[in-house]
Amino acid sequence: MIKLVMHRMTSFGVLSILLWPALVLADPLRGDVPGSKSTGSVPLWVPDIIRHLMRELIDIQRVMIGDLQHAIGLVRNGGSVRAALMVVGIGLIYGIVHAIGPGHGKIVVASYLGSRQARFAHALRISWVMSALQAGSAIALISVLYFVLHLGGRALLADGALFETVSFGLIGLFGLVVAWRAAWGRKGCGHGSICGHDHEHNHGDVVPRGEILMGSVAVGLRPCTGSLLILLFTFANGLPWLGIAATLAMAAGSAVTVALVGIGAVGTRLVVVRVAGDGPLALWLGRAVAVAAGGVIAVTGFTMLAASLMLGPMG
Amino acid sequence: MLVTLINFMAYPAAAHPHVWVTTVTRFIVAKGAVTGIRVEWAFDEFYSSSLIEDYTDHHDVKFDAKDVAALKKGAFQRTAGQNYFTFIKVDGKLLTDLIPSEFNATVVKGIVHYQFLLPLRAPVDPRRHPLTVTYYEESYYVDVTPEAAHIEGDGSLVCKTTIAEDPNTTIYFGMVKPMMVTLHC
Repeated sequence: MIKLVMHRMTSFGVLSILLWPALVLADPLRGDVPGSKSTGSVPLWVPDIIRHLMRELIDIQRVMIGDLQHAIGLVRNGGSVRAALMVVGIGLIYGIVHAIGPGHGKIVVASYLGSRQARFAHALRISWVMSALQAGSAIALISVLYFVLHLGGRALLADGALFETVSFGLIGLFGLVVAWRAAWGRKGCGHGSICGHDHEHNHGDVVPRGEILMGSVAVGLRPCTGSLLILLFTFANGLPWLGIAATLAMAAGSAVTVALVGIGAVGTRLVVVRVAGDGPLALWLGRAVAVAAGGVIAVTGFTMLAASLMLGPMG
Repeated sequence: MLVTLINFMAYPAAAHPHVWVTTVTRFIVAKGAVTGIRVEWAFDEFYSSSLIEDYTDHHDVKFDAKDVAALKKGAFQRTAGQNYFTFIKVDGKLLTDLIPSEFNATVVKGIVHYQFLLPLRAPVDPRRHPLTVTYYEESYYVDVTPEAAHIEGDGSLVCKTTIAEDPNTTIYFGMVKPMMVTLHC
């Protein structure tokens, strides 16, 4: 386990050195978004109902951010506990709603859990570890930049963008590892040897603890830009603990949404497995799906990496 | 082809608004025609705070002339590639290469405001040539929404303004139609 974490950190270090020259500021107001590829230039037909839902989602977040700012202002001016609790409460709900939008590891979680013998407990575990790491990386980043280096908003968003780019690369690598393990089975546990569990199982599609951590680190490394801005605001106003509390609340909310996606994936798989049965073809299919899921995650990670290097980081 | 694929795959992580800007639009009217458009932006409190942190001296929450110049250069001028998020169309055609003037930045109760004027190269009579202003940031990292619109100037035109979705523009992979101000005279 420790070796795994150390391995990950070494990869992070190497990747960040390699990717530094490609770093672009995350902020269209302060830096050019390279490649000027407008998101509107891909003419996807989107049904009106989806458009309306998306607008609702955005409007809800806009209102919540306003409420959050108002509540933080109340704390700053009067310091009441009630206002602080309001901040945390709004943060929690904002986290739930915000995670419905793109990002936050839903593809990774759904692909991974939906393709192997995962239990509902795995869905809960992966989502809370991932969200805790996302909160942790935002808090660590701000604390270091603000207190140790006394840097301001611009540097913060730029470094957040670096973490994000690295995270995409790690997601890609995670996908490769998952696919590899699903294809070749666990070490020393080839098909036909005695592994200490029933031969009917597909060796490649269990859920090792190490993979949960690996996936969580890959996704969680990317701090949510929303948290970064809120943390910067509260730190600048002398309310660091409030910012940290709000970030943790947002992470908890985000974990709820991601967990629901994960539970949905596990449940879907259970239904499919029940229908498909136990024969050798079903087992082979199960392994193939497990490999394919790793492939999906790898492709997602690497194309997001390529996009982030070409288009500029995305919030 | 590859770029389109990357664009498509990037959707899952594409920018979700993290900066919220509202605008006030003022159509400047002289002798029965619009000669320019005055735009005011108001940023949300979080982003305002990061601008204040970066562009003022720490104990002085306001922008002096030096700060305004730095802001213009470092946090406004670069939006030129996106028409300063302000897309003015006459007869449905986009006006390009408009140069903003009279840029100013102020702080009011913790909110940063930008003001600038976009003079039109030739005056436009909106009764004969429909005039609209659509606001957006193309990656949707910034949400730009018009909140109010007014007519100013010598009173030679009596017009109404409406704000609604722009039916001809989409951003964010077809998911969002930005808001547009229309002048009805």
